[in-house]
Amino acid sequence: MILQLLFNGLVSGLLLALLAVGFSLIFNTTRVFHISHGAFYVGGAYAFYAILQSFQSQSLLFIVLSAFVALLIVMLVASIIEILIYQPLARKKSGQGITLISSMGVYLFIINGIATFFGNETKSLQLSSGGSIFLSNLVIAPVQLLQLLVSLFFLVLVLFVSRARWFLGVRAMMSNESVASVLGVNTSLIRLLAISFGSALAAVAAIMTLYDTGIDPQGGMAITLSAVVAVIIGGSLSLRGTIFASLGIALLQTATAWFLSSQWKEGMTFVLLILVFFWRTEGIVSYKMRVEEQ
Amino acid sequence: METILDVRHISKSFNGLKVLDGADFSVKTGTVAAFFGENGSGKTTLFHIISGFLKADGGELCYKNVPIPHSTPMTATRLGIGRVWQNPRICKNLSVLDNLLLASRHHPGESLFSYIVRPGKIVAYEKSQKLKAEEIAGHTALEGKLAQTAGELSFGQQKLLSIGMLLMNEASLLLLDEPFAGVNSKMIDHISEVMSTLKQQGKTIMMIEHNRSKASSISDTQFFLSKGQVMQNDKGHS
Amino acid sequence: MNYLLHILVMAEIYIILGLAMNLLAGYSGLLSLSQAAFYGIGAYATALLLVHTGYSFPIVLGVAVLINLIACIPVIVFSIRFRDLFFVLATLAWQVIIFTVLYNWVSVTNGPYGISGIPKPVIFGYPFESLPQFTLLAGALCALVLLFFYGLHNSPLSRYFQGVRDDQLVMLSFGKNPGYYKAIAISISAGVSAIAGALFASYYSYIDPTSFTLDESILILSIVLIGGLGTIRGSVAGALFYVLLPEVLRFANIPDAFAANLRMMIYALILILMVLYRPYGFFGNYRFE
Repeated sequence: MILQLLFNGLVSGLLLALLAVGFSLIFNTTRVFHISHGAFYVGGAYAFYAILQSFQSQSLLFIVLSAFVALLIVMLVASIIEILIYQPLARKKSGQGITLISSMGVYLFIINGIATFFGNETKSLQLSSGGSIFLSNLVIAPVQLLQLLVSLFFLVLVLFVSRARWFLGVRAMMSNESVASVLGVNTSLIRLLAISFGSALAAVAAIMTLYDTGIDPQGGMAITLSAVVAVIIGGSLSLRGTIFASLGIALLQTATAWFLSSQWKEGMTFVLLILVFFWRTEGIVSYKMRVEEQ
Repeated sequence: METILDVRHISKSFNGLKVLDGADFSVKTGTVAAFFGENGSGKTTLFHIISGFLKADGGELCYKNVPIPHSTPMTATRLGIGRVWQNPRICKNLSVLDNLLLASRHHPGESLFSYIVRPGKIVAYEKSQKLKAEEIAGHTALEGKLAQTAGELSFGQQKLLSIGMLLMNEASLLLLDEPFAGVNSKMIDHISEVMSTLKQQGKTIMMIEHNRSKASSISDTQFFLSKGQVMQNDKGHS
Repeated sequence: MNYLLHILVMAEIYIILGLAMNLLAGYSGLLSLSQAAFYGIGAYATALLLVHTGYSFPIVLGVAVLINLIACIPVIVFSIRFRDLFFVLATLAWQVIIFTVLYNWVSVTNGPYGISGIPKPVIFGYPFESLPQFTLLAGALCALVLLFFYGLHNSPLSRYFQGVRDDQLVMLSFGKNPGYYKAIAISISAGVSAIAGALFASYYSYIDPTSFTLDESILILSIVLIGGLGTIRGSVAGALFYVLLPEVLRFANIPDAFAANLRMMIYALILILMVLYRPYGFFGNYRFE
């Protein structure tokens, strides 16, 4: 039974890692606390759903095609948000508060837009292929296998890309945007790529969840916040840290759902967040640090 | 003349770098003391320590012959040590009057309980402080500007406002960090005038300044910071 | 006529919430996302006490306020220990934690099933049963709250709150402890939100946790942002704008199924536009940098 719990946690953790890595990418390059990440998560699933339903067949070809188009849509909308909202605010040197609020506005707009067109109920799909795999004490549902493979693929891709040479420009930007810009790094382009790719990762996770527990318009915020906790705990600049933290949090949530009730898991995640805040020295507002920043 | 401040063997390091290494000097009441030194020689750090914003690693401070260990900004202020920052720190979104009133010392309106047990006292104190603020605005070339939002003032006016706030707070020892930096010559004269007035009122001024000529002409004593230590140079030799 | 009164009651509740939020975000510079939690605790405390005990409305209201004063202590701690974004996230976390408790502590709050049969207020034997009577009561409470905040605005405390917002080092330089004023602002804000919660509970006679989610916190924040931070007019305008917006939609004959979501879409759009082009909102005198 513990094995099943670990496995379930692992699979959810990988999905969560996709979201967390996406968020981390966006936050590090744009410095925006992109709370509307959840909207792109949900949006990706709904776009996929709508496109797939428009085809007669639901064969693998159309699934992949729909996914592809859905990702493009998500990337497009994310880019629009970046160009119309985040970049102008960055040019005005807006602080964290204002950009967070703008992101909240984007979230409300997109989520309510989705609810207007699709209604508020949960949408889900079924995988037509195969039965579960049974491995000693472990039951692997087909959708879990899909989630496992796809998540691993994308995570490995991201890790691989982050070691590439041209990614150095992105890294430079993450540490110091103005310096990077002076050194000729195209910060606007990187921001666009980051937000597109980050949102695409979220959409991928959502599409796979669509085949599992389903997606409803309100579901984006909860999982995004868990992803945010993972980024904060794992260290926003460390991809591996973020991934491991995601696995840890998903495991904690799965265990909570198993032993307590699934409703408590969100609360648990946030108790964890507050504990981490108290533990980290960065969060301290001691005026001493402010003075030294003079 | 009495000594208002005694600094004995004060040292402070940041990340292994010793910024202050046994700084020793005294400042006499009612004088203007200027502090010179290159960037990074520890002048501002010294001011931070005296005003309680930083704790020294070692050494002792005596204010009016009373040692003041573990000082925080709150305790330093209570003693009458006030400071002005290099880039004037004021409440940008409040009016000039509100900034001055904010600085007033021991206002009954500070404490929540006063509103319940003695609201009348609050009203009375507000009235008297408003008069005082007007007077101080007069001294600091800000009369007529009481209603203006502090953020709209010029750089020099903001500097004067922050000095005005020190006056409202009835500080006896004023630490001024580069009062003449970044302002035009007319403003420099204003600020000098204010400092003379303050000196006449018996206040003691310590200032960090890079404008040596100006600072030398109005200061009684001069100190140089170098290699973490403080050396004195009497006025006669400037 | 009844419909007009209904709108008036909603406006009164949101004006109270808006003023409470404004004290934090507008005066003290504290972007708190926990306001719906305090609203909710106020509503639940009122509901439970009115349903399960025989205490009259004023006493129940007092207890609800007291409970919130205790529940806001973590937020006070956050405001002193954490800065900027960390504070916002901590209040977000607290909001979700409170919601989770309201939703799952079924033995006390009845969880997702909510609490029904909340009686209308009875004050000194005088019942406020009918809609006009309730509107009057809500109006009276709203007016008292407005008067309170007006007084607060003109008091020295207003300076100290704004000092916390503008420059905490200045506060320290003059011997004023920023933490003390944060504590006062957060306590007042939480206590006042309880009043709104109490009105909400006795108005609808039924409450469930879904009225007190993070989305509601975001909404309350948006209200004061759009109305304008730092002024009383701003909070009132923001609340009125939010409550009256659906009425404008009504003229366009949008079917009810879509109306709620469409209203939020328009509202969100206005929020974004305000942030980009009119950061002071309608009547604000402060904007986030």
